[in-house]
Amino acid sequence: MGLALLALGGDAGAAAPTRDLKLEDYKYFRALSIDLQGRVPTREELTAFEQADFDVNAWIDAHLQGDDYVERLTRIYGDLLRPQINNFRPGTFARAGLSMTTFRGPDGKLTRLYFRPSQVRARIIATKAALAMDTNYKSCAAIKDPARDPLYVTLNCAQYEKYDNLVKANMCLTADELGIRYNGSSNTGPTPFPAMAGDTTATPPRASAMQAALDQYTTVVKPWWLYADYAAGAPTQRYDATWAQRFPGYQPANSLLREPDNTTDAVSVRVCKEEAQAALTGAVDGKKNPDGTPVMASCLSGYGATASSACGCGTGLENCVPSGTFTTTFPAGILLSSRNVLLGVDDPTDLVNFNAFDWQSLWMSQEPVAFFNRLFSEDRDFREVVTGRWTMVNGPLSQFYRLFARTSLTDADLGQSPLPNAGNLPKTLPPFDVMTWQPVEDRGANAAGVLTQAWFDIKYSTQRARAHAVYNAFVCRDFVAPPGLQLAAAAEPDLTKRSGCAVCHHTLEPLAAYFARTAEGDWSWLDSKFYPTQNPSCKLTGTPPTLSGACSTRYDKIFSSTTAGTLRGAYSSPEHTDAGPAGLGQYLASQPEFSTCTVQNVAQSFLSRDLRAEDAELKQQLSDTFTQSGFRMRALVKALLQSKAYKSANNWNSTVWRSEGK
Amino acid sequence: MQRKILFSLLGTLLATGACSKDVSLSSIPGHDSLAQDTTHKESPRLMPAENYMRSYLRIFGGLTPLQAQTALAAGGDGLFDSWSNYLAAMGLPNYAVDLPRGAQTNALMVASFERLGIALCDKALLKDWSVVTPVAMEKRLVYAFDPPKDATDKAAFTAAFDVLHRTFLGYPVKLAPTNRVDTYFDLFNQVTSAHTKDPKASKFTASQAGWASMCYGLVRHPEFHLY
Repeated sequence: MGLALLALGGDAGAAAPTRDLKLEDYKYFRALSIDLQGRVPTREELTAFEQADFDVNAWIDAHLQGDDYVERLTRIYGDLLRPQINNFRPGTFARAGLSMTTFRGPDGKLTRLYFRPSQVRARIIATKAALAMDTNYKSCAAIKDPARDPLYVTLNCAQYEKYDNLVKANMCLTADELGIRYNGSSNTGPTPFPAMAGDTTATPPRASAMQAALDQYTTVVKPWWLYADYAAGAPTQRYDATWAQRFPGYQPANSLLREPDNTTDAVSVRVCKEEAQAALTGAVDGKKNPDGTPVMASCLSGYGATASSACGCGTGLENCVPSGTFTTTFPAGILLSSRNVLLGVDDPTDLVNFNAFDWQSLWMSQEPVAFFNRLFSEDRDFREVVTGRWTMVNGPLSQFYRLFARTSLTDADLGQSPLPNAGNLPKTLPPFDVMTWQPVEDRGANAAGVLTQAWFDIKYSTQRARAHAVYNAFVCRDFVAPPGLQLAAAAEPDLTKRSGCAVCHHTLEPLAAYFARTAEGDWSWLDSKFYPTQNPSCKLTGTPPTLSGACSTRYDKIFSSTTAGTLRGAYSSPEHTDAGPAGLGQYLASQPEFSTCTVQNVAQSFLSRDLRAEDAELKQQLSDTFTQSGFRMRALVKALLQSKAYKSANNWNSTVWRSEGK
Repeated sequence: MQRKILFSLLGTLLATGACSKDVSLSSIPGHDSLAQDTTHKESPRLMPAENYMRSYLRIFGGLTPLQAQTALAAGGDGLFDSWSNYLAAMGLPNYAVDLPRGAQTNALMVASFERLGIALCDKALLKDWSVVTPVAMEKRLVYAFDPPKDATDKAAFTAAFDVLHRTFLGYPVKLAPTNRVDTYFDLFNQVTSAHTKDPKASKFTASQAGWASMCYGLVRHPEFHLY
C-alpha cells in the first residue's frame, strides 16, 4: 500500500534509494540547494540526488554558473552596503522634471499641459524685461497682503496677475490664455480662472484656453512614456497590453495613460514648444563669445537646461520625466512598481504608485545589484568592485544619467566626473526598458566600482560615512571607541590630533579625504580644474579673515590660510584627495586585508556565524584559493562549499533536537 | 544506629574522595578505548527570508509572489492578506532604513511562519485533492498521494507522510533523528478523532483535516526553517 502510494506520488526513488545515504548527506545537499538554488530541493531533485551516479561536485560546479548563485553572492554585499536610498529628493528636478497643469481646451474638454520649470523661454525673457521697466510692478510685487493694502488698488496691481504663471511658474502661456489662475502658494496646482467663491485647487477650469495662443506657444508630442517608437517620425506603438511582455516592470499610472476625465486614452501630450526641441547643443541666451559668436552649451547639462532656450527635453521628451503634478518639488505617482525587490525586480511583492523621485531612486539602488550580478556571473576579478571603471545601466538609469544626474551643479563643464555621460551610455535603451541592463564599459579615470555610483554618494552622504562604509565592507573593520574614552573640551580643529577623537579619526579622516571630490549629499564631482585642493582664489581675506561667499561652500575656512583655501575634507590628506575614490580602490585592492576580508564576508554568510580563532586555517586556505584564482569568487565559494566547516555547519545530533512533544 | 552513622560517614568520604580531583575519561576502567566526539558543534542556521519565500513559492507551484498572493487570499477565508504584512516579520532586511536581516527567530517571526504555513497547507490541499477538478498525481503541489482509506493503517500512513516529509524537510522520514512517525501518527489520529466529534468546525473532512495538520507540523518544523 505504502509503496504504491509513493509510486503514484512520483517518489519511487525515495522508496528504493540506490545508494546508502545518511542524514548528514541529505542535510548537506539541502544546504547546497538553499545556497546555490535559493530554495529547498524538490522531491524530484531528492530522487536524482539518491541515484548511484549522482556527483555532488559536478552538481556544485553546474550551480555555480547559475543565477541563484549570483543572487546569493550579491545578497552578501547587499547586506553589507544596503544599497537602497531613502527619501531621495533632489532639488534640481526642475531641470529634468516636467510640471503639469490641467486646463480646458478650446473644445471644452479637460486636458493637460506639460512644461519644464527651469526652461529658458524667449517670451519670459521679454516679459521680464518689460516688467523690469515698469516701476509699478516692483511695488506691486512687494505687497504681501493685497486685500488690505490700498496700494494694490491704487497701482492697479491686478493687471500683473496674468503674468503670475508665466513668470513665477515659468510657463509659456499666461493665465488668461490658458484659462487658469496660478495662486502661487499651493503645492497641488493652479486654481481655476476666473476664480469664484468656493473654488478649490481641485475645481476644474471654467474658461477654455485660447486656440491661437496654444498654436503659437505649444505643440503636441507623442512622449516616451506612451510610445515604444517615440523616436520615430510618426509614432504608432502606443502603450497596450503587450507591453507587459515586451517591457516587463514598466506600467504607467492612469494619470499618464488617461486624460483628466480618467476614461479617454491619452494619445499625445501638449507641451510648451521649447520642451519639444531635440538639439544636443544650444546657444546660451544673452551671451556672446569675444568674436561675436554665440556661447554654446550642451543641452544634456544643467547649464544648458537653464541657460539656453534652444535646449529642450529631446525627442519624445526622452530626457525629461513627468512629475505628475504642477510642481516638481512634490511629484505625484506616475509609474507602478514594487517597494520590495529583494527577490529581484522581476519578482515584486506589491505594486504601488511611484513618483519620479522614487522611480529614479529605485533604479539607482538597482545599479549596484546589476553591477554585482555581472561581477559574479562573469566571475570577474572581484577587485573590480572598488576599481572597475565600468558600471551597468537600464533604460531609466540611462535616462537618469543623460540629464537628470548632470543637473546638480550649474557648471558648464563637469570635468572628469566618474558618472556615465551621454557619450558612453548605450544608444538603444529606451526609458521604459527596465529589465535590460547593459554595461557602460568606461566611466573614466576617476571611476572606482561601486564607490563612484550615484546611489553610494546619496546613501552615504558624507565623506566620513563613505569612508566608514568602505572600511566596514572591504576591510572588515569598524571604528570602535575604547571603553571609558573621555573626550575633553579641546580647541584643536584637526581631529586626527585632537585628544580622544584621534582614536578613530586618525584613520577615518585620511580615508574620508579620498571622497573630498564628491560633494556631500550629492553625486556631483568637484573636478580639480575648478576646485583645486589648495586654491589661491579662495584664500582667507579681510579682518577677521574669512572666505568669500562663493568659496565657503566648497572650501573649509578652518583649514584655509591667507595664501590658499583648502577644499573641504581634504585637510588630513591632500594626496588622498587628489587620488580620489579611484586611488582608494587601487589602494584597497593591493592590500592583503582585501582578500581576507572578502573571504570573511563570504564564509560568514555561508556559515551564518562569525569566523573564530579556530577558523584561522580555513580562512588562510580560502584566502590562498581566492588570490591564486585571480580573485574569482567561484573558486572561493567552491572551496568553501567543499570544506569541512561548511559540511558541519549544522551538525547538532539528535539529542539536541526537540523530541517533538514526547 | 552506630553502624548507620559509620556507613553514612564512609559514603561521604568516598564521595568526597571520588570528586576531589578531575580524572580523564580514559583512566576509568573500561573506557580507555571509548571514542570521543571532540568536533566543534554548530547550531543550525536560519534560512534567509528570500530562500524561505522562494521555497514557499516553489512548493506552491512556482508562482510569482503576486500570483501566490492572489491565490492565497482567494476565497475570503482570511488565511492570507498581502506579502507586505509579512516581509519584515520574516526577517527580510530593509536597506532603505538600514534594518538588518533577521538572523534569529523571534516570536513574531515564528507566528508569521505559522500563519503562512497554514495558508499554504490549506490552499494546496484544496487544490491537490479537489473533487471538482481532479489533479494528476505528478502535478500535485504538496499532497502527492491519495489519502489512505484505512486511517489506522500505520504503514500506509508512513508512506504518505514520507512524501510530505521529503517535500518540506528534504530527507526520508526513516532517517529522522526522533521517532517522528509515531509522533505524527498519534497527532493524525487525535485530529481525525476530534474532527469526528464536531465535523462542522472545519471545512475539511476528517481525513483532510488530519493530513492538513501533518502539513502544518512540517511546514513550521524547525528543520524546515533552519539548515
